[in-house]
Amino acid sequence: MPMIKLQSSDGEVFQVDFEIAKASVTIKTMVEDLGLEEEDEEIVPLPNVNAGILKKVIQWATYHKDDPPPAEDDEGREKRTDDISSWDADFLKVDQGTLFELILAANYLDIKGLLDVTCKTVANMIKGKTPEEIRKTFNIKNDFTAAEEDQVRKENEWCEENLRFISWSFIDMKVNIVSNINHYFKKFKKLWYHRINLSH
Amino acid sequence: MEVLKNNQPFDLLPDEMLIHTLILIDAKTLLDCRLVCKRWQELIDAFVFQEKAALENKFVNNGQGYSSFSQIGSNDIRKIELPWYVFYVISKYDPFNRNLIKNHCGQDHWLHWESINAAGVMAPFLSDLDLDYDFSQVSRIPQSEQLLLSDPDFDGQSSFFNVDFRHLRSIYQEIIFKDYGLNVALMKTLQPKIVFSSWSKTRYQYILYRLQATIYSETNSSKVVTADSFNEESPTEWKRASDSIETMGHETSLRLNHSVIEILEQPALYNFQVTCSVVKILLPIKYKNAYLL
Repeated sequence: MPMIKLQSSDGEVFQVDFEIAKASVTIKTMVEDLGLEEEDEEIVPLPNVNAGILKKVIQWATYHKDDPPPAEDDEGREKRTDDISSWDADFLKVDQGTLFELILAANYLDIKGLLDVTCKTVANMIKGKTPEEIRKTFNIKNDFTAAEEDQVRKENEWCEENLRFISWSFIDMKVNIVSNINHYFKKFKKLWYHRINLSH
Repeated sequence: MEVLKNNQPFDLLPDEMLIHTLILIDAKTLLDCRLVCKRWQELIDAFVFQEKAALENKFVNNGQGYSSFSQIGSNDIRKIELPWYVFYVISKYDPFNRNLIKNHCGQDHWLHWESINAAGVMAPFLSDLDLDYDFSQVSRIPQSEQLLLSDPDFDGQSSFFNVDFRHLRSIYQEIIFKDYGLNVALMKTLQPKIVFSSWSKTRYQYILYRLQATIYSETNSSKVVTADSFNEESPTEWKRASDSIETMGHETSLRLNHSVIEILEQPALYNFQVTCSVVKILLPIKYKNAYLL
């Protein structure tokens, strides 16, 4: 099997099976454009990826080498974040710095599967958290002034305004039930009246 | 890697990647994400809700897409110029370009419809127990009425209300815009046009059918738009009445009202048939300046 050599930003060279390396569209295109041959001693430089991350990427690509290629346009699929395989979940149990560098590497190397799974992992870390919890998790500085934050909060409330409405519709329902009872009551009176008439 | 020393991992991600991550998050949590920091808020407002709507459009409603975007291809959704909360409301309620009248052909009997009786008193429709029930019924339109049933607004239904207007002054249904996420803020931004219509038919030529839409505002003023349908030549044919309303931005609800105005006294023949009541709020579409794309 043909092997190619990948060089990380810090100069380390990794020898990788081309079948695995071509999970990266960037590498695949580079190799095809340069016309690299099996026996070439040419090294593909990857100046945006350091050795630690490149090692992780190769590990991921090796495990997923038999995956079906991603569809050209998978926008038709619903974007879910709960479909991360257990191997990927374990693989991505890393510190935040590594996780984010993996996103950048997946983007630079154009590996769709890895980009998806890393972004999903980050999305899952955001989901269900309050703004304060999100800031704390990712060490994000709150750069809103009090007035700005108030404005954003107010805009959010516009969107959720209908929630307040639900309680009102319950009151409307009660009114309806009361008027229904009245209606029945009238009917009953009518029947009663009718009965008296008949008895005469 | 200086940024890493700061330990603020999101500083590493270019905007494009951050958007890519945020579109994976549900709309409700995205509201909270708007409060995280300015960068997130700006990106979410400018791109995320819109991009999310464009992506989701391909699989919602069994792949038919949001009815709000019924006139627009999925890729063109990215070119529309609308504030973020419109996309939020569409993903949650899909309120535009679809019929908001429930039970529009009487397929569920009188469910969701109210009536005002001849004495001018609100008389809610009850179940079959209702003693006065037989004055107004729901029947089926014969399949021979091809032309009528080919109106897409029927949406597969083929029943109609047969209303005796000696007993009922009118039947109506109310649409509260907030139920569909269309609160005052949104109505003010969009000022959407509202169209309404119905099909009707009488057995008697001296009856005037009146389709009326009354629109209520937060200023407590109301506006009435009437679409009369008076078919003197062929009164026994189904006829469509329709009209539209331009909103000003402070409207809160709409009442669609079917009633009959008698021209000549002929009490025996007040039966009137009405079906396919439609109220649609149209999404005003404006495309972004082509130079910015």
